[in-house]
Amino acid sequence: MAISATAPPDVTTSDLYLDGIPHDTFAAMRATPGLVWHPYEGGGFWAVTRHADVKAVSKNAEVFSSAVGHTNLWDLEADALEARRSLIDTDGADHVRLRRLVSKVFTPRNIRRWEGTTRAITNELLDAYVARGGGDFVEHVAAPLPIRVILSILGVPLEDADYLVEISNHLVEGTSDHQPLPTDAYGNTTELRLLPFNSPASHALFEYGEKLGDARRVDPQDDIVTMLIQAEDGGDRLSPSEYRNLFHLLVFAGNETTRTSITHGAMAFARFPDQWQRLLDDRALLEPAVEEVLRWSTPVLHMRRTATTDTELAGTAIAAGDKVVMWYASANFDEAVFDDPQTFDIGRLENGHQSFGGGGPHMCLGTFLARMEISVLFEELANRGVTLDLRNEPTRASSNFVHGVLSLDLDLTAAGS
Amino acid sequence: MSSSISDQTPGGIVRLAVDQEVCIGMGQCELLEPEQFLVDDDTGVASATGDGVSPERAAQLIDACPSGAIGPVRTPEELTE
Repeated sequence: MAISATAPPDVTTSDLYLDGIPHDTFAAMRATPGLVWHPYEGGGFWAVTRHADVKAVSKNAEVFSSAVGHTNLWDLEADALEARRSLIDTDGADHVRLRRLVSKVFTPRNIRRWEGTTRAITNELLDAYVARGGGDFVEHVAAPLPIRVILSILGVPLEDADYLVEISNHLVEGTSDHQPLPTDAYGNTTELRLLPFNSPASHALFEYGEKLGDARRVDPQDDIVTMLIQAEDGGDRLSPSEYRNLFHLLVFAGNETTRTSITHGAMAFARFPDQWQRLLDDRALLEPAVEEVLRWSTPVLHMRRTATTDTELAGTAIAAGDKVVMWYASANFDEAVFDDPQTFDIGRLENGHQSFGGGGPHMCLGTFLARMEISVLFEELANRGVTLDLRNEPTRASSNFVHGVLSLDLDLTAAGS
Repeated sequence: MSSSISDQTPGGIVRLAVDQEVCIGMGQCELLEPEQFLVDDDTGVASATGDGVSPERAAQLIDACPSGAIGPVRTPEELTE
C-alpha cells in the first residue's frame, strides 16, 4: 500500500451523499493507476472505480465472492450472515437454486405481460398528479408506482402498499450512519445485527412475509408468494430463512431502486429541459432515454465482493480475504467509456451503464421489470406534454448505498398554458 | 474467448449451447436472439434452440450472458483435448 501525502479518499460517509455523488473524488480515484486502498472502520477495502474493472470483478464470481463476509462494506459474524443471507449473498449452486425459483417471472418475455398493469397504475397516478399541477413527485408518483407493480406481481394485497413503502423508507435509513428507529420498533425483539440493513423494519417485513405465506398455505393463490411457500414446504428448495430473505429482497429491491431511478430521471428532465423537449419531439428517443435515466440515477451506489484467493486486478495485488468494492456511482461516469459523462444526454447510442451491475451472475433480477416501468412512466408523462420545473432543491437520503431521493417538488405545466 | 471462436471458424456458423448447471434464467439470450434461445417457463432454464450464429454474434452472446452459461458446442475431439 502506497503511503500518500494527501488525505485518503472518503466515499463512505453517508452524509456525503446529501449533496449527491462525490464525482470529483471518484474521478481522482479513477485517474489513479491500479486500485485505490480506501480506509474503512480500522481496516479498508480496494475501491474499484473504473468501468472495465467493475465488469472484471462482476464476471468473476469464483474469485470475487458474494457469499463470504458480506456484500456491504462491513463484515458480518457467521450467524448474522446466515440469518440475513439472500440471493445477493450466495454463490454457485445455492445462488442458481434460489434464482431459478423466481427468475422465470422476470424474463423479458414474461415481464411484457405486466406492461398493461403498469400502464394502468401509471395513468391513474399521473392523472391525479397532473391535475394537482405537480407537488412531491416521490410521494405521488415515484414511490407508489413501483411498489404497486411489484406487489401485483408477487400477489401481495395492494392495500398494504403504503405500509410497505414506509418499511422501505426505514430500510433506506438503515443504510445511513444514523438510524432513527428504536431497536424495538414494530415489536422487534431480534438483535439488529441479525436483520438486513440492521433495521427493525426488516423484522416487520419478515413478519409480514411470514403472515402472508401462512395465509397462502391455507388458501393457495396463483401468485409468487404461493409458489415460494410451496417450494419451502416441498422440502429442499427453500428454507424458512431463505423464504423470509427472498420475500424481503423482492419487496424492497423491487420498489426502492426503481423509485430512485424514476425520481432522478424526473429531476434530470426538470434540470435539463432541452432533453425533455427532445423526448417530447421524438418518442423514438424513449429507449435510449430509459438507459440514460438508469445511468444518471445509479440507484445502487456500490456492491462489495471478497477475494477468495490471492489475485490481481488493474495491476494491483489483492490478497485472499480482502474486501473489493465496486462503485457503480463511479463506473457510470467513467470518461473512458462515456463521452461527456457529466452530461445528461438521452440520445446516447452506446450506453453500457452498470446500474444493473457489471454483468456476472448477480446481475439485477429486476432488470427488465425496471426498464419497462421507467419506459412506461416517461412515455405516459411525455404523452401529457407537460413541462417540468423544480420548485426547490430536492432532499436526498443520507446513504452511501442507495442513491435515494426523499422528496422532489415539481411544478407541472400543461403545454400551451 | 471471442478471438478463439473467430479463429476456429472464420466466416462460419457457431452453434451455441447453454450450461444447464450454471444458467440463472435471466433471459438475456432469448431477448437478443429469440430464434436461438428459449427460457423454459417451468424450470427457468435457457436452452439453445437454433442452428447457430456468426462468430461475431456468438462472441456478443457469450459476453452478454450474465452467468457465463453460453459457450460454443464442442466437437468430441475438442472435448477430449
